[in-house]
Amino acid sequence: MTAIGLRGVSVALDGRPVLHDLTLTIPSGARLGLIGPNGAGKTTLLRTVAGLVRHQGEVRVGDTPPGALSRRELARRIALVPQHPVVPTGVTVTDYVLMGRTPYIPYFATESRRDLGIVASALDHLDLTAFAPRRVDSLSGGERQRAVLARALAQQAPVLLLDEPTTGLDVGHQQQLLELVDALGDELDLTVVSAMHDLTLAGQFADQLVLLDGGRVAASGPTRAVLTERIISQHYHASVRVLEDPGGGIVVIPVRAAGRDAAPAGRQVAR
Amino acid sequence: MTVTERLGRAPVAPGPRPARLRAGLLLAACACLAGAALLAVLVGPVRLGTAGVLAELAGRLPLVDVDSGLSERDAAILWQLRLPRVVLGGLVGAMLALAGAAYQGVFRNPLADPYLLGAAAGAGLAATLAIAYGPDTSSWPVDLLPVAAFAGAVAGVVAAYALGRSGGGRTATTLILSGVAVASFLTAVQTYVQQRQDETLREVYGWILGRLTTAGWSEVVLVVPYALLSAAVILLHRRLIDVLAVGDDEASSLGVRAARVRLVVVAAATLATAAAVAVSGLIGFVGIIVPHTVRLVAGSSYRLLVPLCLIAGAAFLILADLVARTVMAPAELPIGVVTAFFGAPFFALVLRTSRRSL
Repeated sequence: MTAIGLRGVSVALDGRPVLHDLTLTIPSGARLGLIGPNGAGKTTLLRTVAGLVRHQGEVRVGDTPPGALSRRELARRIALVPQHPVVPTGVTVTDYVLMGRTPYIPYFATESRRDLGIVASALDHLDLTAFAPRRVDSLSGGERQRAVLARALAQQAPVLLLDEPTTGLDVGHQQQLLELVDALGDELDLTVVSAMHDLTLAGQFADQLVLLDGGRVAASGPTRAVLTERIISQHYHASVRVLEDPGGGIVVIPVRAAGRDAAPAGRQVAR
Repeated sequence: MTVTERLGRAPVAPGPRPARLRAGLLLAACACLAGAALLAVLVGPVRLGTAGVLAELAGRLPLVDVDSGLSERDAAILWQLRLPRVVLGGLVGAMLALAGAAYQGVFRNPLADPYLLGAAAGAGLAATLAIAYGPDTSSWPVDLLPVAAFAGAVAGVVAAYALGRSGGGRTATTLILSGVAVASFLTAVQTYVQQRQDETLREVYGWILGRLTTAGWSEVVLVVPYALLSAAVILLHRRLIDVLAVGDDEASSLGVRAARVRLVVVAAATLATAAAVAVSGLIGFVGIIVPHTVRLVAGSSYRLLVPLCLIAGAAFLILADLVARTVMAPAELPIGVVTAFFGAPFFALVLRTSRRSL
């Protein structure tokens, strides 16, 4: 079954074209990694799927015809975790996660017991129960990212879009977060689409990859087919070595290119 | 099993506690308001007895028949002078605090106040024009000044909103900046008119500083419909204002049409502000100090902030008016001076003693 289907989708931001005639089918239950150099259109693609950007072409969510879903209905089917979530001041973790129930709570009503039960369950899934009364703006980066994820889970949407979810996390927290997303995806039958800039993490955690470059799909398919030295050097202008990890998965290592402009590779190392 | 079923099933005890208005806090706030109102009714050039006033008030309730023992003159003072003024002060204070809180919420800006979007400048200009050039309205059924001030306040905000929208931007910042532009322009015109007609300078200045004057219940009747309407609209939107705290983009991804919520709330807050300005002039400070004080004491969720601001705003302005008409009696201080003079140190005290940060 198809979770998300895009056909001929083009997006322009402030008159500048960002996505060009994009056609893409994301099957239900996929762990799709969205990769591509900076400015390739990864964030815009996620925002378009979430219905936040004006676009041309068709975006289908599940089996509903394009454009048929209201804002609230869309929020029940797609949860988006932005790269830099706004951290409101003075809001407790409970209230923050409760915001995820907004598309279910009737406009002028208050949350039900059921809503609170779902919030409790989302907190529990992300190991945040002890943090429930804490303020979101007092949490550390990793805790905060889990709170954002809990809010997305409370939306009970079958599709989870993550925009560079590991931004600002150290290597341990990056791994823990992605493991968690993986486990949640399995347990809750989610379709997970994550934009990622770290190719090794993408190689370890995604089944399928879509490589965007200049607003077009440059390559897509199983992880091993997309993460090749040739494709990466062509689209990232980076010089890398792709290694097979004995434990499964793929490792992408930037290498210093002798005799060539080393700046792009240098940037990779700096990360 | 789908995500809906799995997350929905988990039994959890004791459960998370979201921000909700607890009964104790609400009762305490109501008690403060009742105390302030009673004090304001009792104190004045003629002191009224507590027991008499309470009995007189109770006597008006259906099925209650008590003899208050108030003289006819005292009863008239109570019903025609003190009570209308206390009620009007309460309504104006509640409206200004409500509008301030609402603006702060939808613009995500702690410095927002009811006059942010040109309401004050619009009302100021219209009132100045009415004072300077208006016809003699003593024979009219309604006075021109409040009508002009009301229309001016609404027109100022509509102009700011239209300007903000025409720029293509629908963000909070664009709107605030258009409000600044509109307000500066209207204030410039108002100052010019005021200087040209300097015989009205004193009257205009007095109006700008704010004053509560009542002739029986007519002002109260004028304000009540707007007060009820805007309070109802903002109370109904208080949960959505909370969601706007994560920004328009994330609010949209949570199913909220942010621009529309902002428009509706701003419209309601503008009606409240315009109604308050129409009967009381430009009373400053209430719309900013009351919401922040409530925030420091009770927390920042609009689910408690909105109802508590209504009550606290009413109590604050009733007390400020009491001070304004008693400290230099029989002369009256402009109430705007009182709200700032007592409000600022009080706010500083709350700011210092509170362990919450804004």
